[in-house]
Amino acid sequence: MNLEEKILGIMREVFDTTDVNEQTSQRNCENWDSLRHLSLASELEEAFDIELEPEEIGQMTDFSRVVETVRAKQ
Amino acid sequence: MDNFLSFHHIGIACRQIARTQAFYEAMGYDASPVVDDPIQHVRVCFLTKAGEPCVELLEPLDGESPVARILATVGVSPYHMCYKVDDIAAAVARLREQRFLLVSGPVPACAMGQRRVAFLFNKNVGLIELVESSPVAIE
Repeated sequence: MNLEEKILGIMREVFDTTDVNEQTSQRNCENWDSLRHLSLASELEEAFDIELEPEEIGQMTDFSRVVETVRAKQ
Repeated sequence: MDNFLSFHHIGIACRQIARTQAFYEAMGYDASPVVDDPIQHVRVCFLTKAGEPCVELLEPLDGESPVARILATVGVSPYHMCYKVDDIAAAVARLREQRFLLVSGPVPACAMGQRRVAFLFNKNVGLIELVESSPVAIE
């Protein structure tokens, strides 16, 4: 499983929906609320053994930016 | 883990402080003056009553406020517990080791007499705030 697939799986689990893909963003995903956003960041830290800074958590507003942020930390 | 966190208050997100404050005042709580904190984008009021936990009411100052996002998600609701710590940097470091995300801070808080606060999140604990015991020394 590559990084993108792993992140999609985490997002589907956190947002509790299978309707998550490469185009998913906070704007078009109803379940991507502020509390689930923190849960997403928490799950990413654990899954990839990384530490995210507050600014990085704030900029993860869509799938592409989540991937960019995680990739930059590895 | 030794006890380095001392309970301080419960934070409640509300749309209008006055409306929520009225409920607590009817129960005998005393209200502090309302303070605007532009750094946190919130308006704050503390409610105290002897023998009861301190309650902090937070109203968003603008759409950028994290409280606005909480209200959009869960409505008027308790949403964080705050703990007092002696050394906020050390406390943040210890909680980071326990898989708490650092959400914001530490930054001085107007409503806390310029004492620094930080918000952290853990998926099994939720959102917590830390406030340090003493204000930051201004040089």
